Amino acid sequence: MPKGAVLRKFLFILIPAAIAISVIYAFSDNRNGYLNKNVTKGDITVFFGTEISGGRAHLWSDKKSGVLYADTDKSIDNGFTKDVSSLHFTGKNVNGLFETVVSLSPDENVISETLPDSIKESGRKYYELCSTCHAAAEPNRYAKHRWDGILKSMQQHGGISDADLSVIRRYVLLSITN
Amino acid sequence: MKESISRRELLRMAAVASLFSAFPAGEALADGGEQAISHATHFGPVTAHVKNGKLVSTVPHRSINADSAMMRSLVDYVNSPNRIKTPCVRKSFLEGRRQTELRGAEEFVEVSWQTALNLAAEKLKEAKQNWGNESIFRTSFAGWSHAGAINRPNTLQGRFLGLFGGFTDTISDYSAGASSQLLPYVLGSMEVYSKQTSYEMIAANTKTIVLWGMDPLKSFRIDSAVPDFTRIKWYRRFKKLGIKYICVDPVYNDTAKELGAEWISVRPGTDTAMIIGMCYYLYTSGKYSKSFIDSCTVGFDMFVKYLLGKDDGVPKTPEWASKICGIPVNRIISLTETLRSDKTLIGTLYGPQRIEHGEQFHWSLITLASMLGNIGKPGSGINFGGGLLGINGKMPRRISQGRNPARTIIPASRMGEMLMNPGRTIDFNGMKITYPDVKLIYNMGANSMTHHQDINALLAGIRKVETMITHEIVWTPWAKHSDIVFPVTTTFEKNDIGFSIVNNVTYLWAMKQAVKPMYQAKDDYWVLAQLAKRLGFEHKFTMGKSGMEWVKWSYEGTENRVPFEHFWNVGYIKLTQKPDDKRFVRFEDFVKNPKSNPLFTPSGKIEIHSEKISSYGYRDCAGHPTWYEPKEWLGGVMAKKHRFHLLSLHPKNRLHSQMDNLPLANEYKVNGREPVVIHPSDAKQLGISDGDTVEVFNDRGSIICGAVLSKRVMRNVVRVDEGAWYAPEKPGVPGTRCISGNPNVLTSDKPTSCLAQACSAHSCLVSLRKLTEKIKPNTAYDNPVIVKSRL
Repeated sequence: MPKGAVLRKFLFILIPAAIAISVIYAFSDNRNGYLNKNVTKGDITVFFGTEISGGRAHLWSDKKSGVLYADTDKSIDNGFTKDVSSLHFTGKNVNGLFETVVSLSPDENVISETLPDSIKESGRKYYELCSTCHAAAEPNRYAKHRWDGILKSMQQHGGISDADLSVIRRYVLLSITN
Repeated sequence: MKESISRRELLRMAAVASLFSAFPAGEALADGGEQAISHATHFGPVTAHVKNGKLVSTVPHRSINADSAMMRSLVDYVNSPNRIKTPCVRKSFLEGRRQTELRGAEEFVEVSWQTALNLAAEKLKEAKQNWGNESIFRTSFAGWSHAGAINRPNTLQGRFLGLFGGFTDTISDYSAGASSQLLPYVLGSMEVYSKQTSYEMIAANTKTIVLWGMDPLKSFRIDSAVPDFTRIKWYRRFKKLGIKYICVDPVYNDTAKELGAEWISVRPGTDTAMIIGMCYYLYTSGKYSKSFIDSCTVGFDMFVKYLLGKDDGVPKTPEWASKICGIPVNRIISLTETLRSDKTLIGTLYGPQRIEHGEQFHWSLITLASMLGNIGKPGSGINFGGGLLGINGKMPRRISQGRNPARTIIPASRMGEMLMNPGRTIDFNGMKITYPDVKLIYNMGANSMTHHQDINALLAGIRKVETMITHEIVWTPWAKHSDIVFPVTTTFEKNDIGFSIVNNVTYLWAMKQAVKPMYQAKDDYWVLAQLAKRLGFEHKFTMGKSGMEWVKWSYEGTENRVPFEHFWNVGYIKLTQKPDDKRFVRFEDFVKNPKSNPLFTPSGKIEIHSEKISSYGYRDCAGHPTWYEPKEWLGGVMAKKHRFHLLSLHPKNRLHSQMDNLPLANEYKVNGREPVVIHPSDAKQLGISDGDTVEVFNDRGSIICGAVLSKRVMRNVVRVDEGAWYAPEKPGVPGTRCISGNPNVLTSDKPTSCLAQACSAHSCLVSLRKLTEKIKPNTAYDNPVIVKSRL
């Protein structure tokens, strides 16, 4: 076989293969980490601090309230949807909760490698707003339900907006390690 | 060393200065001629009159229709002969021989700012390097020495020490330490600092107000922010509206007297037994609200077992309660009937919980109010904190402390115990806390020598501390016991922004500088910035802002449409109360629908029995309200040795120890010492007459007071208000008498319980004797000897 034919044959195989690999790579999403900002897609908002695997968030829904929980213990809300019917369920069902996968394909700049990195900004807000009268308590000092009561009464005390309180609450709850 | 200022900083400061020079002459910094300048303080908003650069009078601000001797005494506060004029260092400390036993008994050396700052920076570095940041302790936590948003010493100090790598901090406070730790378990919030039912709703609905250990006309004369006296006016208006007052208190207090309250004189520290007896009556008579208990509470059955004496064999009957609290059985029952049949509001502040087992007071009151079914209804139920602090509007921004990397904490009232017992581990609210080994105490805006219990124990504790750095305006007892003393400015010598709050932010106040810093005094902010410069984090501390730039930044946080310049020129802004605030009823939503609006307790309901507290297994705080016999009370064994119960109440004409050194004190001091109020019958037995010099003593110490005879205290109860400056009869000698009459020489630093580890100052027995020998004059307000230095 002439050299030119071999080369043509080689290119004939190589070029489509390279294109195919590029297309697969472009459409695949291997972004893993934690959201450092709330991300909205359609009717669904996924909150900062949520773990992302392959560009997707794995959440749990009761198919009624619109709340998207991090786990089947409902330890923390990781998102919300205005329209439960828009969710895609995997078929897993535990304690009356249904697993749903939300595909976000988030930008690189909203993904942090670790959970502590993803909640740094919210931590700054917590220490800025909650240490003006007294020292800000370390999140581990109180249990989750106690934090809700404390934050509610301190909201009035410190004149903290609902939006800021929501961010602070999430920071505190995500920071509790014991 | 010359303090250098960069060219850029100089230009920026000049720009800010030109902005404020545009104001009318009367609103600018006083240089000459008489000027009237708006300012605001913890005692109220005032107009400062300045002549030839000197503050000549302070009068209540024209915008509020209220007056107090304290507001008018602020001029004396600024011009006090006790002002610290220059930086000072204790002599042996400066010479490198610490000799901590000489604190309070040794002269000071006047030094330059450069020397003092360098020495303080060196000692801070030494503590950090040798013993770690945990060895640095700050005493300032509450912010009662400056009412502004920017210059609060406690906040500035937390910010500074946090940036330095951290410090041992306090948690909770001396005021409401027991309740603030307990109530989140019971009601799901700290409650004593929560927004309460509006005064409008009380006026429209309430028939009877019970002042349970509460003296609002006295207490609300001062405020952690700027009092506008609205709350005092409301309590007077209630009287005019025909609302009846009942005072449950060992003292017939000022409010009770002025408003003509009926007095139920309860034996000190026994309120819980009285309340539990009332609960027993309601339960056994079937007159309690079963529906409220069922729908809004958990754990009632556990409490009933205790009430009926199922476990301990002691039914908590009104007869049982009467023997403890001293109130006749028929009065316990008739009060319960009044609470049941009338629209009655049970109001209380924090005094009754500053006792041994103080957690039980609010818990038992909540249980009583639950059995009455009155919580969440307009004009009835409970009102803790007197309607304090509910803010919905945009507040001025305040400087933040940021994060304390050291994380070490102790309950606020444990300072003395911590200093004496480094390494000791204590229980605290479900946790274990180990006391650090404190080597350096940094003090700003606080005078622990008056507000801490058992001063002799505290004095022993601070002898173990290597370095004591203090910022102070005047030579307080704490300043006299310090090593490095920085003279700092009063509120009238700097700019700031203040606010008043009653259910909402009601006023914003321009706290305008009225006079130049006196002597060599500097702002706390400046002192810390200079130290930060020496320690390498000046910019992080100041963010490149001057004091006035911080003030403007603070105002911008309110998002008010009035331009800052206009606000600053006028001196204040009065804000409109939101209509919703006027209709607010505490717990209304919860009671109407407990399932939809649960409390933040584990059960979502009022926890009459707390599984969580029970799980801690504390011997002194069970899972439900319980009467525990305290060590010191009139019904106990110790009363045979010391027959009087001492109450160290908040003073009427001071803010804790602030103003104790002013001429205003002459109006109430007796022979220059703090008064001890004694019932005339008790005084007669001891041969004491009005005006006599009296020694009040117990096993912890002794104080000298002047006698005042009054039937407004119960028999066997004496009152010495807290806040008198400590003055040792023999400086430097342990256990020596306080010749000024500071009651915290006598109080115990025993904690309330393992749960809150809070202050129990009101559990204190003492003896009295008339003194006939000559006693040294009170030296509390003498300045220390100060010698000159070439440094």
